[in-house]
Amino acid sequence: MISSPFPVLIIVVPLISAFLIVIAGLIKKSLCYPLMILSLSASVLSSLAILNDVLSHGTVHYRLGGWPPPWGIEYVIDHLNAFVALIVSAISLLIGISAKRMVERDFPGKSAYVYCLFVLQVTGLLGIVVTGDVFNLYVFLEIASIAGYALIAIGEDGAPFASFNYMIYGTIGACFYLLGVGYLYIVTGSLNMADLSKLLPGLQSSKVVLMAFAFLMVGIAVKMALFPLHVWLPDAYTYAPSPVSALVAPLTTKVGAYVMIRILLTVFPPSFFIETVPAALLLRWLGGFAVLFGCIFALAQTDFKRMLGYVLIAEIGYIALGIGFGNRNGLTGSILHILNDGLMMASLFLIVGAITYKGGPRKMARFTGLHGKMPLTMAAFVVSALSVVGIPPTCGFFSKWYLVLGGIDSKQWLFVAVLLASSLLNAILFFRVIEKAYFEPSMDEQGVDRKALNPTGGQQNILSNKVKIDEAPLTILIPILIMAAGVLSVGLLSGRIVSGIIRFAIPAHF
Amino acid sequence: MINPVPPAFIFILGAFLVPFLKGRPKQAYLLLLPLLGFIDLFLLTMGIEWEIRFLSYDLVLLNVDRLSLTMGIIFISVGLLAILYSLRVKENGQHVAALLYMGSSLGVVFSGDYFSLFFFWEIMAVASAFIIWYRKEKPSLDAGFRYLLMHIIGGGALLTGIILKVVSTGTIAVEPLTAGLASTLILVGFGLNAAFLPLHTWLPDAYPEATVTGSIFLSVFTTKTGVYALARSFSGNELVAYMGGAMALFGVIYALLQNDTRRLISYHIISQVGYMAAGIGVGTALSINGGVAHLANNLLYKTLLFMGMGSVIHMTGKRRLTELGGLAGKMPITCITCVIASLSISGAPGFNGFVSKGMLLSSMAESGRPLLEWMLRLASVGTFLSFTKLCYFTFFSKNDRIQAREAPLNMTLPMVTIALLCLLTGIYPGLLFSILPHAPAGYHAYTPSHIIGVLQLFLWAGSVFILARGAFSPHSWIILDFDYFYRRGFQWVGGFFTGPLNEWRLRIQSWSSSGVNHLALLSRNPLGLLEMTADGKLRAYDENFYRKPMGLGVLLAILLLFLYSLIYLISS
Repeated sequence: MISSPFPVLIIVVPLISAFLIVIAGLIKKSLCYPLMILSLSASVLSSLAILNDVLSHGTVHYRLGGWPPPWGIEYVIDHLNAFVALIVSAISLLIGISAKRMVERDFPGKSAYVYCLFVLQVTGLLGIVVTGDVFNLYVFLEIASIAGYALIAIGEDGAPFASFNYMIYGTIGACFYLLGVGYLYIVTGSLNMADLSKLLPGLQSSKVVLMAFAFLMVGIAVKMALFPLHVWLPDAYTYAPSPVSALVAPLTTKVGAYVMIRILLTVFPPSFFIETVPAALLLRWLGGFAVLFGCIFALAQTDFKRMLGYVLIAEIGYIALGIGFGNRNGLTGSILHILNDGLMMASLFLIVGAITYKGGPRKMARFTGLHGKMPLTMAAFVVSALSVVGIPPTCGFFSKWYLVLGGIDSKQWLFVAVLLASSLLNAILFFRVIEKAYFEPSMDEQGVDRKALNPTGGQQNILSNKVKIDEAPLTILIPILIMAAGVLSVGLLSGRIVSGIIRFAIPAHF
Repeated sequence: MINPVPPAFIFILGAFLVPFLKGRPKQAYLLLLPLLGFIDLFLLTMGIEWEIRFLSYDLVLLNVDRLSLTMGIIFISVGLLAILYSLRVKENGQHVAALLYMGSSLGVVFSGDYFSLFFFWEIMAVASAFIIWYRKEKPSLDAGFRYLLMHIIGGGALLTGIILKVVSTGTIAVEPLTAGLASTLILVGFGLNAAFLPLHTWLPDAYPEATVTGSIFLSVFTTKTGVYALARSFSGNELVAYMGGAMALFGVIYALLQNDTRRLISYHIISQVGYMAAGIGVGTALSINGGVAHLANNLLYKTLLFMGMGSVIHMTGKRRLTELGGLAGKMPITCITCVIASLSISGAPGFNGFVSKGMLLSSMAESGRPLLEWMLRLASVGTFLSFTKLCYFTFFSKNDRIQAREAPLNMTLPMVTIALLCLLTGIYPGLLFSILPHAPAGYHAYTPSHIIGVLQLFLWAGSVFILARGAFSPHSWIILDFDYFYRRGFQWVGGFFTGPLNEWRLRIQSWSSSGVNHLALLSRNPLGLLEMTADGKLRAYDENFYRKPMGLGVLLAILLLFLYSLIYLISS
């Protein structure tokens, strides 16, 4: 057994620095940002170190307080969560870097608290990923969620209500999850995942285990916003401040998907959700509906950020579909999609952030001429958009390829058709934005008389209307470009990622 | 010794440097790329190279044989000329899109497996849509969007076909396909690019809407890659052969009815691609040679025609035949080159179209397909008529009001070059034969019977044109004018084409656009569609209107829990 300090460092460093940030903010405001970046970088480095350990030696264990499992809490990191932990920490570092200008402009004087919540959110997400204990997972789930509620509530008009809404649903989700864990504990007397996976195979017919399973599935479905329990998502992510939606939108849902995969593959025996109960069937149908529903409703949106929310619902549907196929290719597609979707969604939400930071529009009808004003941002947008549509060589194509293969392997032709139809819908979605931004002349060129729109406006008003939109500051632009480059390079490297990491993350008998 | 790289890389990677260059160096750089491409082609050796293992498949990025080499030479040559023609374009974006488009077409040509073929195929679709959009006018934006949608649908069919093929046969290499669901889907994907009926609507819809320089790139790559892909996977397929014949006729008939010069040429693309598809569908060595030779020739004269018409539009600002005329004296070089192109496309002896059409017709006669042979012959007559019409009404008919000068050198130079090439390959067909995929087995283009046959057709068609010049005069009521034709004795032909067939064509056109409209309706408000039955009006989507009470969602979660546990308990 390999033991290493890194699993706990991933969590402890940001957890402690979250409180240090608040203290530092009382002394000197300018210390907060570097402190946040330092702690997030430490998480990235630890995740890299762990991934390296896992790749060379296999699963890494860490016992909190030295207590042996199943009594003590244990952090267990195998290929699957080493992979997800790296995704989460790297994307949150990039978003953290970009947050500076947006937070300091929108929340002057309160930036220390925002950074604190931001780091706490990341701590929670990473904790969910590394822990090997189902109850400890619940604790981190609550840390992440509560930080998320607070972060979303500080957004624009409508955010407090959206956040309240999210809190109600989130609490139901967490509650169901906890009940599920409780039921499992009643039957097995254990909370350790590895221990549970040894105890559960003999208890599969127990009514209590079945109820526990139902609670877990519904609870996690709320957390990952799987159709039809997605209702909290569009509002919450539209009204949240830009850096926050860029952080929570891609990551929270993906971590939810990770929890689902973990429960289905590790805690319960994999045959349980495919053969014993028709959970895979339910996931397939819900996933398929989520894909269609998300795409069609995204088409109806006029607000770009809100549209991304619905696209996100569709993307969650892909992951659920892949799990629902219940075979190697489908699961590979789902796990790969956690990475791909995390990257492209973070990039897209950050691009919205960059546009609005510069006073640009969020209504897609007013995107005209943006290409001339923010060429690099829009180039990154095209790359990410192509990835959502699934056009090679961007990464989105490869996860879709595996998902379609998975569908064919399990002979689910209907869902293969859904996957392909969604590509078409996504193409409409994004190409109409591209067309607007690149080819339609901007409002100014169309000769809209600013003064006529503003008859009462004095000097002040005219000036504020002539906001000059250009590229966002470098702290925002560089993370966007890194993510766009990531979308391309992950696509080209997906062969290696699949054969080097994901192959080992899926149980061998699949 | 430098190792050759897949030619696609030169253009695709090269495209990204364009935005960093300005003025003269940029122009020099743009011309340097195709030259590098030629050097690269020269270094290629026959066989398979650049094998990459990716996602447990063996990808082949460089599959060199006579066929792909021929296509490579053709594509890069025409690409060079098209780049030369568009050298003055200021916008970097257009150059980037054109280079990506060219590079990805070359990628398709040299890929030895379906995976990389699909990869380049999709880049091609997106890059070409950008070329259409760059005209930046409302109709071209809409047309570009419809174009892109159709190609994404085609790409989806292709991808599904490829995946099915991989799953069922386990190999991903490009090879002749046998019947089955997988090959049908792949055929739909390829056929959409080759403008198979009725998947052709994107072509006359989008090509005339592109920028003047962009339509040259468009006329070269998309359809020809489609034909090439067909040659790789579906040679000897009866369906492809007769589809080709039908396309040849269909394109010509609707070209005759057009008033817009570029729309006329666009319909001719369908017709010419039909010839090639017919050759590939017949599948004998001679017919495939004929198809590929026709492809090469067609690229030459069709590019020339687009350039000529582009020059005319560029210098006069007019694109309708009714507004043109009398340009022979004012733009002599453009005029002469266009006449040469028209004679070539019609297959007049001494011009290159004669050779390749001859090969196609002979192969059909040899393999016992008289119906197909006559379809192509009829299409030839139509081609001759429509180009006589084009040249007459652009250059020779009387028009005193028109103002024009000769086009600038960077436009005339490639035109003259191509015109000379048309003549050269027509007079020395050996030049053409040397690059064909199959070694030509003693085919002689200039047999007396062939020459006389073609001349007879021309004389007949020419006299029809002279007698019925009034009928061909382009007007906005041109389809009515076609009446004249059938009063002279072509009653059934005219009646059929202007009546049911035209209706069918318009219906397909309107299906494809109403499909897009329905999607647009759906996109405005999917929930509104459910209510629409009541009041017939669509409410604009407003999230605040549709926001439901929180309790409903909570109820849903609990119901779902109930449902889940019920299903689990029952099923276990």
